[in-house]
Amino acid sequence: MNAMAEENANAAPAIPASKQGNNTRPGPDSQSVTKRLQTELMQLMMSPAPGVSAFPTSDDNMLSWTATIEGPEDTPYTGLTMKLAFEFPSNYPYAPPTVLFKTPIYHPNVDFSGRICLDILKDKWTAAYNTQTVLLSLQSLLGEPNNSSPLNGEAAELWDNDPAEFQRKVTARHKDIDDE
Amino acid sequence: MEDQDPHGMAAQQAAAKEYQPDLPNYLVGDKMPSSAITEEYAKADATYVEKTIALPGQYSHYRPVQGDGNCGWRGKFDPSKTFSRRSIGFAYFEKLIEAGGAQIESECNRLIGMNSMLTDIGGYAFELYEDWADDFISCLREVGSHAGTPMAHALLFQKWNDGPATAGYIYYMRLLAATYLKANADTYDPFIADSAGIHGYCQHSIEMVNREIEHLGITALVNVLLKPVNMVLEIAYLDRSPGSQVNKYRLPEEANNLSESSLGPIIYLLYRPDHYDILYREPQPLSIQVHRVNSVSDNAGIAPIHEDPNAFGAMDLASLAMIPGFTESMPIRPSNVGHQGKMPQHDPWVQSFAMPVSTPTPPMVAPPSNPSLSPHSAMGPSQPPPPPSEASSGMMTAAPECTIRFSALQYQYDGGNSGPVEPFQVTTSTFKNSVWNRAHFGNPDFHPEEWSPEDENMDGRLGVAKRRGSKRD
Repeated sequence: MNAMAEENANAAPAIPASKQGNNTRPGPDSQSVTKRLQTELMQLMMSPAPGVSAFPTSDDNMLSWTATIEGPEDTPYTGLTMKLAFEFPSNYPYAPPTVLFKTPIYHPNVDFSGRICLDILKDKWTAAYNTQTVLLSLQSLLGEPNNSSPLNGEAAELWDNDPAEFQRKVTARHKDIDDE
Repeated sequence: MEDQDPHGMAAQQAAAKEYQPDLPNYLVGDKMPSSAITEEYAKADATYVEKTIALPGQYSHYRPVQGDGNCGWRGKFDPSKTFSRRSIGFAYFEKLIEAGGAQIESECNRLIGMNSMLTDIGGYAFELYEDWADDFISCLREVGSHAGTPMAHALLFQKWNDGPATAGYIYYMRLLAATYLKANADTYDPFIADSAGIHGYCQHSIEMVNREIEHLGITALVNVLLKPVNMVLEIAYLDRSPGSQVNKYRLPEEANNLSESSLGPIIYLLYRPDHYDILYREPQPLSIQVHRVNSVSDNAGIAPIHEDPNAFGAMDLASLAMIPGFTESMPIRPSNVGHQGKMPQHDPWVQSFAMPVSTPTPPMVAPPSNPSLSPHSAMGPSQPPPPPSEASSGMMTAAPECTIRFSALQYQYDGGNSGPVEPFQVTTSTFKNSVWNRAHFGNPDFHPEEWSPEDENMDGRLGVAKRRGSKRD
């Protein structure tokens, strides 16, 4: 279990590169990706989950979305709103989207560039996941970090041993960003 | 600094990321005779050779389905690493086409009826799977509308070679299998070692895009897709396990004890480690039927290549005939039965060839003072292939003073001593470097040297003897 978690941590910084690699594989064409993403968008709008939302960043590119997560109650992130960027590969949903925190966030499983260590975005991805399930997983990650494979070791340490200092760092690092 | 180094770690990692293995340009290939597999394994391990030789007698044709063992180590996504489902899915469509349009229509209705099961038991949102289910069913329906015409198979072939589309078909099959396992969780939970149970297994194995099918997944797929239409899956395992034939196993399990004629359509798969191809039994002549009914495990007699009496005649005879005078003794002539018609032309040719060669021979023979070396040292590149080495040394002791080496008499003597089957065993370096050696690239019958355990033993013995000798010195 631990070994696998470590692997994830090491693999994390390589996300952008591997995304390019995916495009060279014979995969579903952009038409079927677009169709799938339209279905997902419809689902997000018809039955929105509390605290999460997502929408394509621009009209002409269905493969790039902006999402928001509200910090869950009773966590250091309560009251904060985080923005994220989703990039869907051309063979989505057979490969995971690349997800980055755009809002600066202090969290054991997120590094200072916003890259996320979450197994379902890496080797545990299945085509049965979608944007909404990813957002809900990330929301729960905010309240329950996986401290066995931290990207930010200091945050993992403070989460376990000094909640007050952790809260202070979260608040200090958070900065609302403008819509792009 | 290190980044500049073209051989550095970073550069190698980048190269590894760029690397694309050479993949065949099909997902599902053309049907071909399964003797192609025998040829493919001709140079492999003896177990494989034996099993693949027997294979064409059991399954006349096969269809390669793309496999890819390359994606795992990089953790790179690859929708094509689902070839077992691809094989099963393709063969399932094929069998339905053979069953006819009515069967296809009822199968479509059955699959549509399973949608509610996917939602209620599988726990998959309708929005998630509706496209996959639609594509799968409409593909089946479209192909089915041509059932009974060659068009149906052509269309099927085209559909299952369309990468983006098949990714969807295959994922739909995954969801069906996962739903079946969840519906029968009580039965299958005990098979799952970790505490996540069957739901965890579905999530971490069946639903994973780049995860190859395991036994449980195959069982589920058979039960959900094949069994309701009375189809049986038979897997032939081509591996290194002992035995002269591939091991066969049928799903559902109860089909193993039943005779083939009492079963519905059978889908045959050939399993090789990490790879499944589709096998076929074409309608066979009566003799095969007899084999089937009597025993499934003993029909090796159908295609034993090495027992074909013509095989040696065709291959070796021509080269043997190059040896002047050899045809006179010709102990292998009986094996040439199949080529009787050619023999009259053979003999005169050999005769005329023997004359010029034997005449200039004497000057080239080594002086009698060194009789033990003469057959070897005189062997120039233009010489005809020599007789077996053991035989020639035996010949030397029997007739040490003979000056003409290739006389009919000698060969007659030879033939009595050793079989005529291995004419090229001479091991002098002169011969080895000549085009007369079959292992020489210039030889028209070029064939690389092969290692065999017997040779090893013999060399070993010689080596020991030599070493002992040198120690004494």
